[in-house]
This record gives sequence, structure tokens and C-alpha cells, in this order.
Amino acid sequence: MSRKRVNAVVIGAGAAGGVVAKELAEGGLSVVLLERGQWTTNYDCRKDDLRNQRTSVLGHPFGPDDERNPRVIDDTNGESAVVKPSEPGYQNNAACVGSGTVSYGAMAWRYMEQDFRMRSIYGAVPGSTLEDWPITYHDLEPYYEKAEREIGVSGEVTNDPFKAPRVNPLPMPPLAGNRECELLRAAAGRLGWHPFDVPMFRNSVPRQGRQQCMRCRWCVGHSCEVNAKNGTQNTVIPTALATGNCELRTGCHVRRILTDARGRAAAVEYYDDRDRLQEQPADLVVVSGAAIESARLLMLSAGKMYPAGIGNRYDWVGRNLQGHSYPRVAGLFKEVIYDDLGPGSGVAVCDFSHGNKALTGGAMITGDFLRSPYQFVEKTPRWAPRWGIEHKRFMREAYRFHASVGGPVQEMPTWDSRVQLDPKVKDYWGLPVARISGQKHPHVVEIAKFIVGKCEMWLKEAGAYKTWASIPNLAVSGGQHQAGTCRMGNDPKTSVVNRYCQVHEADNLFVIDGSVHPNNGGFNPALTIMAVAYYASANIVKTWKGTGFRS
Amino acid sequence: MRNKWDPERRRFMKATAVAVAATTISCSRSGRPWRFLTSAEGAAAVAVCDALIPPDQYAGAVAAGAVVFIDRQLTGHYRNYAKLYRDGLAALDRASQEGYHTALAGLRADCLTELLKKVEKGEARASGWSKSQQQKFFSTILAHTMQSYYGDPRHGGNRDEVGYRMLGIPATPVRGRSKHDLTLSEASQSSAEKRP
Ligand SMILES: Cc1cc2nc3c(=O)[nH]c(=O)nc-3n(C[C@H](O)[C@H](O)[C@H](O)COP(=O)(O)OP(=O)(O)OC[C@H]3O[C@@H](n4cnc5c(N)ncnc54)[C@H](O)[C@@H]3O)c2cc1C
Ligand code: SF4
Repeated sequence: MSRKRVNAVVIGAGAAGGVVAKELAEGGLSVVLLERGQWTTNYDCRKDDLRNQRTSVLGHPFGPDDERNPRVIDDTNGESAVVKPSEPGYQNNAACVGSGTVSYGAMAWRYMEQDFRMRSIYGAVPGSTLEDWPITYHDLEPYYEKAEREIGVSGEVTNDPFKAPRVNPLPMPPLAGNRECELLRAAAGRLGWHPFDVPMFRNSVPRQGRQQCMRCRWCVGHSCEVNAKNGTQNTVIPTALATGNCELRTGCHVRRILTDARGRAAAVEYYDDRDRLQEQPADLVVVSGAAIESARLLMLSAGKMYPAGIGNRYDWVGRNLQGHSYPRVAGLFKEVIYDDLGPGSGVAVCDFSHGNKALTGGAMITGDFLRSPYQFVEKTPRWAPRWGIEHKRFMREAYRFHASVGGPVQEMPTWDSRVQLDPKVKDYWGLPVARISGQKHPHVVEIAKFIVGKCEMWLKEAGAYKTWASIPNLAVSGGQHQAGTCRMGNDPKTSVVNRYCQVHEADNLFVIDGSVHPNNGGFNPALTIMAVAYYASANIVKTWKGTGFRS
Repeated sequence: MRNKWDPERRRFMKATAVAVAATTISCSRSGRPWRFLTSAEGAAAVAVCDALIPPDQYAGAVAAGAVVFIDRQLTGHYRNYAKLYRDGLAALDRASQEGYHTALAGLRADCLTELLKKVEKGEARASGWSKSQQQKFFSTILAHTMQSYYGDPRHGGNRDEVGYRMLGIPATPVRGRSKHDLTLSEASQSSAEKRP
């Protein structure tokens, strides 16, 4: 059934889609926001160590559902497997109103200036498609600030001498650190490093009609029962709806973008919450489905003018899939570290983000969010007893006495880490599913090993008498930090969208989400995804004139 | 007016709920203690789980509800493991018969530990039980037992939050605090209460 024409359809109500919908609606465009998942509210909040978006052994509450959304994953041995969203390897983020921003750990990082200019600073990396962004940190600075203000960020980064220049301070002060955080802060200071309070999408004081964090131990992977964690679902999406210009339709699974005879986007076709096929005509279409599903959707929209998918004339759609690898080190202490004060991850250093000898990039290093007992069991060192009375004794002697640090290593994008349409496996709606294949670049593991060394130093300085490390392997990463599959660039032959996130081949089609990152920085990506969304939306609103574009 | 969240009242409500649940169970499930496991499999699982997390000053896996947890999940999220358990528990019993001439459920604790150490490495002898099958079975039941002991009590394990208490961390507070916001109207409160 064809619906009434609107100015803009935004596909996906996650980090980017929520921002875009609000900006366009405030700019006076009529907007339909389509989300395949559902609304969750803080009333639905159930803190469950086994069923959450981080530990999903008994499933995951924030979608997509296991029954209808398989993917095919090729592992490093060339074997492929059909996996469900809650299973390891799926590379899941979330699917609900707000997507990952409902259950994220909520670190709100600006990338550093260098992250946008990796190729110029470090030169080409053999085997990698590493490239500069076509925009700089300074293009994004005002939009970083807008994201921090409108979504709501607490923290204190003044003491980080490596940060990119910023005009204004963060809108909220940091939460006080827990014991782990203060121990690490002091140790980093003794090492001559530069510790500071991690910026977080979290109310440290009452703000925007919602209360402050009450510091529980179930934060990352869970929604917030007191609504103190700030995502798009409790900020920009309600604002968008309040303008009266935006309609949110949940349970709507977009199956393809329809194009007209000139190759411009004309409408999107989706299955509504009762599985009826609907057609929504629009003047412009914004794809914000996150890196894996956005690439898949462009490919699913193949047609006469676009035999390999929209924007895919030069075979760049789905390439350069990135996420982050996390080298981590845990250490045992003689004193009790655990004080039951969430969310954790309060302190970080950026001393090793860039400028490391013989390395292309590095990583921000931070204490970890609180680990649940079961998460700890899964990560115990090889020498620890796995079962029996000795296991219980080990748990009693280790759990409350451990600290853990690590950080997201710069990815070196590769041509072969990619999303394709699987030739055989279909989802519930009969659409070819995403097939994920390829490997990480080996340099990522080299950086990870260097970072592990720094993590060990940090924990030992803090007083750990024994440490153990986990170093990422070469398996492709995507998952919660997925990015890169519809690269932004000036040259249509080597990128999918231009500097305004506009698909080179179709001027009224935009991809705005993590997909456009040429590289994913050495930080968690959500704030950058939001900043790019503000930036790209501002350009749409500025150039928008009725149904055409001002030139 | 008496507060809706008066602890006395809550205790009373809890007691009624348990009584109701008990009647339903006794009506519908005559004799069979488990949803998925047979009685023999249940007995075998009891032996294995308590070897993996034995009782000491804190409850062992079984008293903490491990078999309830596993049995429940085998008809739910762990449906796909049903065959692994069925075959694995039977093979483990064969290994016990062949190696110790007794059924698994009656095996002495030290012998059971010895046997499980072999299964962990894939080196137990039981006809038709391959190395990789043994290792898969062991790592699966170990992971599930750990989940039951340290996971959320709502799934049937971690009874009385023994997993949390043993580690010295506080038990789960009442969840969903905004439901208990007393500024809400009476009507919206009772509808919030009904949510699962
Ligand atoms: C447990 C967890 C912890 C995290 N911690 C952090 C952190 O501390 N800091 C940080 O920066 N980031 C963190 N993240 C990652 C962060 O949430 C993501 O980077 C971010 O949400 C990605 O934004 P996006 O706009 O690219 O995609 P998303 O936010 O994933 O939005 C995509 C939306 O599109 C919808 N969609 C996709 N395809 C379709 C379709 N065909 N039809 C309709 N709808 C569709 C999806 O359902 C989804 O809602 C975390 C994520 C998780 C899950
Ligand atoms: S730690 Fe704070 S923000 Fe996170 S879920 Fe708990 S109360 Fe909410």
C-alpha cells in the first residue's frame, strides 16, 4: 500500500537516525522515521546478568530477535556458519528505538584530530585501505558540542593534554570515581601519564527533566531504570516527535529503496508491524541502519540502474567493515577493589592514542565497566581452576580483588573485511541476509600487544601482584562499534558518499551512521556518529528547498 | 492508608504466589520432577553439577538450583542443546559403567571427579563417545552450571543469591525503581505492577 508522500524517510532510529529525524523535523521537513525494533522504556528495565546486550547467553533484550534475523559468518578458516543475533560472531549492536544508545556503556568520546588524518600522518599501511576523512575535526567541532549538549554528557577532560581543541567545557561534571577508578587514577599519575574523567552520556546531576545516575552495577548492556543514561530514545527522538513533523513507525522492516527512472530515490518499501508490505514515497531518503544493515540495504536495493546495489558502481559498498579490538589486562590485588559502585570505567589516559614508535595509531586506555560475576568467570586466566572446590576458592579470592583495563585499538581497514548478500540464506521476510567475511589487518594485533604492555604497567603500578592479558585475534570485528562500510570521500571511485553523506550516484539518498567512517578512531564511536549526523543534517536543512535541492 | 509497598504486605503477597504456584505444579506434573530431563538424566546431572561446584560453607551447584536452571533452559533458550545433554549424560553413564562398574548417580565423589577430568580432556572411555563430543559436552555443562550459580536468580539458579553472597557482593535490590515511584497515580501503578 502506498502512503502519503513526505519530505524525508529516515531508516533506523538509532544513534544517527534519531539525530537526523530530529534535525530535519525541526528544520521544517515532514519526516517518517522507520525502525524495525520496538520502543523500550525504563519500565521494561530488567537487570539480568545472563540476558543483556553485552552478555547474551540467554538472549538479548534489545533486538533484533533471534528468530527472524540470521546472518552468515565466514570464520578465519574459511568455514561459514549461520548465526543468530544472540550468538557469538553475529556482530550485533541492537534493534530498538535508540538502538545501542539504550544499553550502551555510554562513553562519549570525541575522536582526536589525528584520527581524521591517519593516512597523511602515518602514510599508507600495506594491505590496508587506510585513508584520511574528507572532513577534519574542526568541521565537526561545533556538532560534537551540540551532541554533547543535546544528548547530555558528563565528565572532565581538561586534564587530557592530548585532546583536540574544544571551545566549551562538557555540560555536566563527572560522577565521583569508584575505588578501582581512584586507584588507577593515582597510579597513572605516578607513571607520569595524564589521567582524566571519561566523558559519558550519563546524567551526573538532574538534567532535562530526568534524574542523575544512582550508580548501580548493571549499566553497560542494560537499560537504565532511573532513565539517567542518555541515548537518542530519551532525548532527540522525543524532541523530534514533539515538533509534530515526525512520525515514528516501529516494527517496520525496510526491504529496499525504490528509485525512479533517473536513479534518484523515490520511496522505501517496508514490512510493517503486521508484515504488510507498505510503500512510503519521499523526496529524500536517509539510511541510518548501522554499518552492516545499511550496506545490506543498499545492495538489496539493486535494480536496472544499480545492478550491484545503489552507490556500489565501484564495489565499495560493504567493504572496510571495522569495529574495535579490545586488548585487556586484568590484575589481582591484595586489597578489596570492588565497592559496588557503578558504572565503572571512570578514568582514562590518551597518552598512547597516537605517536607510538613504529605504530599507526594506538588506543585510549580506560578501566573497565563493572564485570558481573559470570563475566568474570568467562574471563578467568588459564592458570585458574575452572571447577571444583578450588574454583570456588579462587572466585572468593579473586572477584572482589581484581581490576581490569583495556581500550579500543585503531583499526586498519581492509578491502576484504566486508558485508555481502548471502546467495542462499534468507531472513524471515525472504531477503538475502548479510554475509560477513574477511580478517583484521595484522597491524591491529601489533598495536594491541603494545597496548597490553601499557595496561600491565598501569595495573602493576596500581598494586596488582599478578596480571593476565587477552589479546585480540584476527577474526573480523564489527559488532557494537561497527563502521566503515559506506566510506565517505571526495572521489566517487573510492568511496560511497561525499563529505555530506550524500550517495555519489543519487543526490537525494544519504547514508548517515557509522558506515561512513573511513576509519573508526581509537575510541568508542557513538558521539562521532551523532556529531556527523548533526553535521550532515545541517547541510540537508540548509540546502533543502521544497522537493529539489538548492545548488 | 497503608502503603502499597509495605514490606509486610509484600511478604504476604509473595506467600500467596508461592502457594498458588505449588498447587498448579502438583496438579499438572504428576511424578516427574523435570521438564526435559528424565529422572535418570536428572540424577546424573545432579551428580555432575555438584562435582563442578561442590558444596562447602556455601551451597553447591545443585542446592543453588543448577539442575532446575539447566532443565528449564533445555525447553527454552537452550533447546538446541537438548540432544547434546541427552547423548552426553547417557555416554557419561556408560563411561561410569565401563570404568567403575556402577551407574553415574551412585559413583563415589572422588571417582566422579576423576572421570570428569578425563571427559574435560576428551580422554574418557565410553563406546561411541568421541574426544570432541566429550569436550563439547563438558564445556557446555560447565558453562551452564556457572551461569546458574552466578547468574540472575530469576532463571532458577543462584538460589538465595548464594553466588553473590559467596563473593561478598550485595544481593539484587528491588528492580525497576521507577515503578515504585509513589508520585504515580494508583491506576498507573497497578498497571506497572502487572508487567512481567
Ligand atoms: C552493550 C553496548 C555498549 C556500547 N557502549 C558504547 C560506549 O560506551 N560508547 C560508544 O560510543 N558506543 C557504545 N556502543 C555502540 C553504540 O551504541 C553504536 O556505536 C551506535 O549505536 C551506532 O550508531 P548507528 O547510528 O551507526 O547505528 P544504530 O544505533 O545501531 O542504529 C541503527 C538502527 O537501524 C535499525 N535498522 C537497521 N536496519 C533496518 C531496516 N532494514 N529497517 C528498519 N530499521 C532498521 C536498527 O534496528 C537500529 O535501531 C555500545 C553498544 C552496545 C550494544
Ligand atoms: S549506572 Fe547509572 S546510568 Fe547506568 S544504569 Fe545504573 S543508574 Fe543508570
